[in-house]
Amino acid sequence: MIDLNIILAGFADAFTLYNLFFVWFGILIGQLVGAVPGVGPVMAMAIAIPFTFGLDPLPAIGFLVGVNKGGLVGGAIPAILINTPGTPDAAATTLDGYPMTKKGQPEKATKMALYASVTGDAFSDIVLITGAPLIATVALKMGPIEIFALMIFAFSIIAGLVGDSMAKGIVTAGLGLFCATIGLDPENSTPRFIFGHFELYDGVPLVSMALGMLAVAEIFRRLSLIRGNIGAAVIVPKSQKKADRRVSWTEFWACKYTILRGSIIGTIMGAIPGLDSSAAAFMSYATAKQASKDPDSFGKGNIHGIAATESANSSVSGANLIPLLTLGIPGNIAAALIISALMIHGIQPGPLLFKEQGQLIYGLFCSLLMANVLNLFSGLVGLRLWTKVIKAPESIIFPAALLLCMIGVYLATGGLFGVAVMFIFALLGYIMNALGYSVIVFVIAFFLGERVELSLSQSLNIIDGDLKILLNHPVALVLFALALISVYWFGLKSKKKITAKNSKA
Amino acid sequence: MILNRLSGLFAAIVGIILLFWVIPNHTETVDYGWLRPATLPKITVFIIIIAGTVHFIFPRGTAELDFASAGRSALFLGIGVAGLWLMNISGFSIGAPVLMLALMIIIGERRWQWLLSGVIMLPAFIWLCVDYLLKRPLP
Repeated sequence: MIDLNIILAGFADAFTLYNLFFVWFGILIGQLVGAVPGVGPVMAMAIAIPFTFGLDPLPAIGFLVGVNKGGLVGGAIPAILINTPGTPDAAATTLDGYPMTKKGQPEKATKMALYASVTGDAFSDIVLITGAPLIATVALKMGPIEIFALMIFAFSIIAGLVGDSMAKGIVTAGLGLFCATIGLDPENSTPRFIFGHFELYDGVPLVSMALGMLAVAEIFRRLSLIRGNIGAAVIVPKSQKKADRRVSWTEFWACKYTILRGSIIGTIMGAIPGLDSSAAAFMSYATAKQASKDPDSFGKGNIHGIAATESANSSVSGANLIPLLTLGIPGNIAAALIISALMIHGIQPGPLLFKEQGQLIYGLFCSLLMANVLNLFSGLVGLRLWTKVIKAPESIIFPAALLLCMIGVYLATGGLFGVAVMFIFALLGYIMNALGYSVIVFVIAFFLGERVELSLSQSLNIIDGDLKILLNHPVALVLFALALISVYWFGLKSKKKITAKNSKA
Repeated sequence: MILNRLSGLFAAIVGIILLFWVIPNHTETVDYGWLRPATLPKITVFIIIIAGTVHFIFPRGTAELDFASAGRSALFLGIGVAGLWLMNISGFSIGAPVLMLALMIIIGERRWQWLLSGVIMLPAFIWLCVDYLLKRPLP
């Protein structure tokens, strides 16, 4: 049991102007880099780590945590304003964020994203602070078979996002999964579909695929629509009501269950090492859509869609620290960078961390909570700035977005090959959009694909042909059952509803 | 409707090409282990072929391809690829301004202050942030 004195001493260490400054500075950098497509907070953290060598451990880690949290808010800004996710995590936010912008409510949409993001983030931080050791123990019980079952469950949720043609959705999911198999296979490490390009040994770069399909394809579409009159990239009516610019308490409170659901999904996904926030955002979106009384309004500018995705993707960041701090296992790349920073400062994460460095850890927890508050206030100021920037002519916004995507991908992949791959996926995304194939389903299948193959390979080796072994994995069996239920619930039942509605009309 | 239906046929044909040409020629043959290099790709391709055929026979949903917009999009894609090529051979400092200038002129932007912002100031700002401040090399 941790002494209360240690907790208070930790909080006192964190609550200094010096520490506050570094956390806030990190948030500002994070929001800025998050809003630039392709760059993202992970790259900013990687670049910033050497600059933290001269700092004490608490401000150094607080700064990096600030960059990560700021990036989560920043990524949603271009996703909502120009349909170009700043980070792959924000891909799902485009679904309802951009339609709200088209309806002339960009400020309302970005504010909801900020509030949901900060709420989800705070939720996972509180879970981290109060129940980290217990959750970490449970999360570690998730072996390859359980992870595979969870992946199948995640795939089953896609059934709710396929749109009006199940066959098209299945083609798209198959194609996304196929593209995820490019690179070394997980069991034998032999190269597949690399066509002589050694850059593809690690697979198709995620950032190239995500930005190509979601951002660059949309940029080309928008550029093609500019003929003659050049207007602002986002047109906000001058006679806009105040209610269309702000999120009222009533509107926020109406999203409470959506945000809570998203936060729980994100926290669970974040606590399991290896699962990323994009999958959490899409799962949360699909469940919010299914739970809604008006599912047809999703994808057309429903504020619940933004609340669902942003609460889920942000709550992953706090939960990622659960296995990191309690067991020394980083949940994702951002957590791996934080673990490396901790080790550089002579701190060994793991089961003894709370005992040996209790004061520092509670200081870090206080920094996380401070970061949430600072993220909220900095975000409110930053959003005003971004919504002003976006009112510039579309003749500069979209070419600039294209150049930033190219440079962002170049920096993220370390060469122009990644940019060429981005253009290939932009072409694919454009064609799929035009033919009514869901780009989002492709992206989710791609995100999950690598993990599916790895966990399937490990599971098959564990089972070794004896299916009775599955009986020793009740969690996996429950997840398989849930997958079947969700295919019925999200897919078949929804289709029946739509068919019934159409026949009534 | 025809385009929508044909998209299913196209998906099925792509699946067949992947199954009979791409997968055999671009995966290695391994005769041990549970999950071989070609196993999952083959499963996904079967899914594509079956679902594509189903869509070809029973089409649902819509497909709308505006050929004029698609042509213009192809033009911008071509400019993007040309900009990439230019950056590859002559670097960011020449490739980025030329790319921005080409895009802005083709869209129809003629106001010098916006052209200056896009062609000179934005690439200079990126260079300042990435090359000078972050010490990361640009193309």
